[in-house]
Amino acid sequence: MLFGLPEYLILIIPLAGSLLVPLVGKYSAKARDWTPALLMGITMVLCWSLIPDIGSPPKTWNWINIPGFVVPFSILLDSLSIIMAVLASTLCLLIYVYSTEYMAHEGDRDRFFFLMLAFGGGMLTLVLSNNLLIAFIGWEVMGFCSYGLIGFWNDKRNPPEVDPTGYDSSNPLLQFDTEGEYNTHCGTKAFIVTRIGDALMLGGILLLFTFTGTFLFQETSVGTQAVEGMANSGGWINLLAGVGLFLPTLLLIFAGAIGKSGQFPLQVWLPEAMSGPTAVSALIHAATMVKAGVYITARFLITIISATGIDGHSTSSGFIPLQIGHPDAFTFFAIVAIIGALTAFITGTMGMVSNELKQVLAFSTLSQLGYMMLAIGTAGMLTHYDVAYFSSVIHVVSHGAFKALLFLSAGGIIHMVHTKYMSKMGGLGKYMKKTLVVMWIGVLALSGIPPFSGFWSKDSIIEHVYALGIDNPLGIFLFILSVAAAACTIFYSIRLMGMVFYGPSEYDELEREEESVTVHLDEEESEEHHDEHHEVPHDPGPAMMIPLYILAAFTVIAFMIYPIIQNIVLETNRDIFVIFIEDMVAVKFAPEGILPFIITLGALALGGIPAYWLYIKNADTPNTTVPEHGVLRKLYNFLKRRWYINESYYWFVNKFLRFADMWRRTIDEKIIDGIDFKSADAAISISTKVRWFDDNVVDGFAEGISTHTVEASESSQRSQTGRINDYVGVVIFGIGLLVIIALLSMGVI
Amino acid sequence: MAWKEVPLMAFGIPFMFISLAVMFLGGLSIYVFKNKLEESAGKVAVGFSFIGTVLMIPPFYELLTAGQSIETAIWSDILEPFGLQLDAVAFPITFAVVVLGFLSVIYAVGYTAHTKNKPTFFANQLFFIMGMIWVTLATNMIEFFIAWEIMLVPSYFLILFWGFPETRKRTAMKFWLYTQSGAVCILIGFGLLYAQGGSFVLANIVANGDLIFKIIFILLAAGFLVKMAVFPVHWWLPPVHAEAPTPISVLLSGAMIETGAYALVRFGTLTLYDAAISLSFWVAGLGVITMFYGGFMALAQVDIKRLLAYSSVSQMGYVLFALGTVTVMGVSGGMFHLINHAFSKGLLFMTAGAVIHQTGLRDIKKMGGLSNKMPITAFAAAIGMMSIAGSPPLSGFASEWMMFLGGFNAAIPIPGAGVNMGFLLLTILAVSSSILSAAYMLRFFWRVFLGPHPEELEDVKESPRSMTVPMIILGILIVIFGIFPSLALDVIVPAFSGILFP
Repeated sequence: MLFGLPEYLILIIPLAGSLLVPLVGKYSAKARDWTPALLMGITMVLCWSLIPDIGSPPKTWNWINIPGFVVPFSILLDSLSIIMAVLASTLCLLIYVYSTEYMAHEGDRDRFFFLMLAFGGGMLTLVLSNNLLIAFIGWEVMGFCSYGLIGFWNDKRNPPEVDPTGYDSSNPLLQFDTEGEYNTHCGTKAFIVTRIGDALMLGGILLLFTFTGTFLFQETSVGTQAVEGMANSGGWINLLAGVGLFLPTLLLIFAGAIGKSGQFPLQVWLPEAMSGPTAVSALIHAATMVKAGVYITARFLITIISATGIDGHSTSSGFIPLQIGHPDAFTFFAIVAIIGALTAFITGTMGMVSNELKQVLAFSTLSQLGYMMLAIGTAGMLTHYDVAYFSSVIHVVSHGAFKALLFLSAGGIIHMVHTKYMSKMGGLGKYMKKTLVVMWIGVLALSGIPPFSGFWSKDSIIEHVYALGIDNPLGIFLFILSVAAAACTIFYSIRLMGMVFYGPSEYDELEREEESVTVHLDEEESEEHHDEHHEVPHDPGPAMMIPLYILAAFTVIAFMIYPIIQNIVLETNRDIFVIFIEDMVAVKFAPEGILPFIITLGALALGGIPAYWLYIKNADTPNTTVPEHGVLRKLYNFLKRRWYINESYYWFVNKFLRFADMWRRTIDEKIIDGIDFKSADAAISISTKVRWFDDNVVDGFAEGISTHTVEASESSQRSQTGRINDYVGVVIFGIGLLVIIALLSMGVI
Repeated sequence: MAWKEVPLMAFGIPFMFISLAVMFLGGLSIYVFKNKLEESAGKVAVGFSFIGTVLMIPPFYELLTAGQSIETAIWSDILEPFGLQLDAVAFPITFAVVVLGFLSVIYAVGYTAHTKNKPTFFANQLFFIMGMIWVTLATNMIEFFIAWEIMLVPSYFLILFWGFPETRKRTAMKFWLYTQSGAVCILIGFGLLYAQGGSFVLANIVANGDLIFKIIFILLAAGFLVKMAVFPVHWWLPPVHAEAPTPISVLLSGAMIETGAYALVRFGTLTLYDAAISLSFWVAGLGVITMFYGGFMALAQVDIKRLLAYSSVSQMGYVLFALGTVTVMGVSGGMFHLINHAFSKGLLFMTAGAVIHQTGLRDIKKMGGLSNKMPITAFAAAIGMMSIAGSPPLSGFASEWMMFLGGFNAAIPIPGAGVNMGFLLLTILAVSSSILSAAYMLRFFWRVFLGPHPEELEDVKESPRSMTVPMIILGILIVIFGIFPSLALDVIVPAFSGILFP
C-alpha cells in the first residue's frame, strides 16, 4: 500500500536521514536528538502499511544496468520480510525515543544518533531487499555502525571498572589502562569477529550467483530456473550438487549468520559488545544485528524449500520427520540445528556465573538466538517445516520485545547506580519499583513462564525438536541440549533479579544518613553530597519509561497477537480464538505434546527453585556459596572463563600478532635494510668491476686489436696498397655496413 | 623533426596534448621563475594543474559519447606516429590520476607550508603527474617508454630532496635501481616485441601464443610487476612510500603503482592476449600471495605510512588476482578497483600526512585519540579505511565483489560442467583475505584515532583547509562510487566484454 509512495523510501529515509542528523545538530541539539525517532516513526508507519501488501509482486529498479550485467533491486514483500521490518522499525523507534533521555548528558551526540539511525536503515535494507547482494550491503552497514557504537565511549580516561568476582587475564591483549581503550577494543573485536563470517558469506553469495545467475531471492527460489547460457540446466540446486558445492556454498553463507548472530564458535564478540551505551546494546540485541543472521538463515530455509519444490504445508497435525528436498539440504539444516542447540546450551551455562548485568543479558541473547537457529534447522528436517519455521519467527518477535525491555530497564539501573557489576548492586527493588515490575515481566518471558510471550515461542520450539527426536536420534540430542538450556535460562534470570533487586542495599544506610544529614548539617554540605552522585536511585523519566511500558504490555498480551502472526506467516485465514485454543494450548496436552511439556516444566523447576532459594529467599546472606575448592569451584571457573573459548582466541591472536611483529623485525626489515645497504654496495662493487673490465678487457682488447692490426698491416704492406688510412677506412665502412644490415634484419625478422 | 599534426578528434583541438603541455610548461616555468615565486609556487601550481585538469574534461566527454578520444602526431617517421588515446581501458586509471593529481597539488599547498624550496617541489610534482597521465594515454611503445621514464625521474628527485635526512639518498637510489631494472626488462621486451610484432604502435602489433611472445609477456610483466610492487619484488615500496613527502606518497601509492596494473591489462589483454592467458593462473596465484603478505605485514607495522604502504601492496594483490582471472567481471572489477584504490588510499595517505603534519609523530604507538582533535581527518580516515576493508556502501566494496565474482567465474567457466578446483581455492583465499584487510585497517584506526589521547597531543589542531578540502572531496567521491558504481562500470564493463569475449 504505502500510500502510493515508492517502497524504497523505507530504506532511503533512515539511511539518507542519518546524514541529516549532524546537520540538524548544528542548529538545535534537541531537534537533533529527536530526528532519528521522528524519521524512524515515519519509516515505521510505512512498514506497518506494507502488511496488506504481503504476497504482491514487487516493483523492480536496476542498481547496475549495463547490457549483459544487470543487478536489479526490489523490495521483497513476503511475510518473513515484512514481519522483520515491522519488528525492527518499531523497536528502533522505541529505542530512539529512549535514547533521547538516556544520552541527554553525553557529549558527541551527532555521532551517536547518526550511527543509530544508519543502523536501523541497515537492518531494514537487509530484511526488505529482494537482492542478496544489496541485503549484504545492509548487513555490512550494520557491521560498521556496531563498530562505531560499541566503541562509542572511546575517549574515557578513567581506568576500567574491575569485576569484584572476576579473574586476571595474563594476555597482553587484555590489559587496558583506560576504559576508552577497553571500549575501543570491544568495538574492534565485534567488527573483526563478525567480519570473519561476513567475508565467507560474501564468498558464498558470489558462488551461489555463479550458479543461479541472479541475486534475487524471488528467482533463486525457483529451483528449476535455467541459468543463462545453459540449455539443459535442471535447476541450480542440481548443478551445484552435481559438482559437490551445494553444501559448501550454504555453509559459507551460514558462516555469515554464525558471525552476526553470535553462534558457536563465533559467539565471543557479543558479551564484550556491552561496553557501548545501553541503548546500543538494546538495538543490537533486540532489533537489529544479531537478528540478521537468523533472518538470513530463515530466508534460505524458505528459499531452498521452495526451490526443491516440496509442498511443506501440512494441514494434518501429524509429526512425521522426513527429509525435505535434497540430501545435502538435510545435512545443512542438521548442522544449523546442532550449532544452534550447542550455542543455546554453552552460552546458557556461561550466563549462570557472569557478574556483569548486561553481560548476563548478552549470554541470554546468545542462548535465545541458539533456540532460533535450532528451530530453523529443525524446520529444515521436518516435512511440516512451516510450523517449526513459524515458531522460530515468533521467537524472534517475542525475544525482540522482551530483550529490548530487559536491556532498557538494565540501562536505567546502570544509569542510576553507576556500576555494571551485579555484586555491587542489590536491594534496588525498594527504590525502583516500576523498573522492578517491568523487569520481572521481561525475565519471566525470557525464562519461558506461561503466559508471557517467551513461553509460547520457546516451548513450541522444544516441542518441534522433540517431534524430530521421535524418529531421529539427532533430535534426542538436540532435545536434551535445548531443555538443559531452558533450565540454565531460568536460573540466571532469577539470579539476576535477586542480585539486583533483593537483599540489602548500600543505599539503605545512605538514605538514613542523608536524613540525618539534612537534619544536622547545613545545606551546603548536603549539596556536595548530591554532586558526588550518591543520591538514592529512582525510576527514570517518561521518555525512558514509556517505551518500557509498551514493551511490557506486548510481552503480557503476546498470546493474543501470535495467532494473528500465525495467520500471516502460514497464509491461513483461521479464527484467532480457534488457533489459540488448538495450536497453542491444546497441543501442549495432546499425546505427542504432553511429554516435552512436562519435561520442560521439570527443567524450569530444576533451574528456578535453586535460584529462587539462593538469590531471593536468602538474598540477605552473601551470594556466593561456591566453595573455594572442589568440583563446584572448578566448574565455576570453567564457566567464568567462558569455556576457555574466548581466551584461546586471544591466545591465538596474540601469538599471531607476535609472529607478525617478529617477522617484520627479523625478516622483512632485514631484507629492506639489506637491500638498502647491499644494493648500493653491490652497485658500487659492480661498477668497480665494470671499470676493471673496461680498463683491462675492453681497452686491452682494443689495444691488442689495434696493435695486431698495425702489425698485420705492416707485414702485408707489400702485397697491398700500403697505406694504413685506406684500411682504416675500409674497416669503418665494413662495420657500419654490418650494423645497418643487422638493424635491417632485425626489422625484417 | 617538427610536430606534424595529423587529423584530429571531434572538437578539432588536441585537448589531451594541450593538457599535458600545460602541465609540463607549467612545471618548467615554476622552475625557471623559482626565485620570483618562492612562497606562491603552490598557488601557481594549483592553477596550472587546474587548467590541465579542466582540459581533460572534453576527452572524457568524448569517451562517454563516442567511445574513445584519439590524438596522433608524428615525431619521427621511423618510430611511427605517437598518439594519445583515451579509451575505455585507459579510462579508470586516467580518471584516477587526473582527479588524484589535482587534489594532491591542492593538498601539497597546505602540507608544504613550512618547506623550503617550494618551486622545485611543485615543478617536480607537476612533471610527475604529467608523466603518469601520459603513460596512461600512450599508444606507441617508444612513447610509452619515454613517459614511463618521465614518471620515474621527478619522483626520484622528490624522494631525494624531501625524504628523511639520514636515509633519503639510499631510499631514492633503491627506488631508482628497482624500477629501473624493471624498465630494462620492459625495454628488452619492447625490442623483442617490435622485432616480432612488426610495429611500435600497440594497436598494430600482431601476436600469437608462441613461446617468444610468452617470453615477451614475462619480460614486460616483470617490469610492470616491479612497479606494482608484487610479492617478491615489493621490497622497494614500503620505505619509498614512507619517506616520500605525503602529497607524493598519495600519488605514488594511489596512482603510480596502478599504472603497472594498467600496463599489464593493456599488454596482457589487448596486445599479448594469447600469451598472457596461458599464464593467468600464475598471475592470480601471485596476486593471492601478495594480498596475504601485504596484509600480514601491514598488521605488524608501527610507522603510519609504512602501514599504509603495505596495505597498498596487499591491494595490488587484489588487482593482480582480478587480472589473473581473465573474466569480464574480474578484469572490470580490477580496473574499477584502480579508481577506488586510488581514491581510498590517496585519502588515507592524506589523513596520515595530516596527522604527521599536525603532531610530528610517525609511530602509531605514540598516537591515539585524535578523533576528538581532528574530527574531519578522523571521519575521512574512517571512510577510507572502510573502503579499503571492503565495506559497503563504499566504493572499495563495489569493485571487490566484482573481483571475487570474477574469480568464481574463472573457477566455474560453465556452471555444471566441471570446476577448476585450483582457482576455486584461490578465490576462497582471496575472499578470506579481506578479514586481514579489516584487521590491519581497524588497528590503524584504533591506534591513531581512537582511545584517550596522550597528554602530549593535548594541543593538536585540525589541519589547514587546503588539506581537509581534498580529503572531503575524496570522501564524497568514495561514497558516490560506492552507491552508484554504474558511473564507472557503464564504461568499463562493455569494453572488457568486447575485448575478452568478442
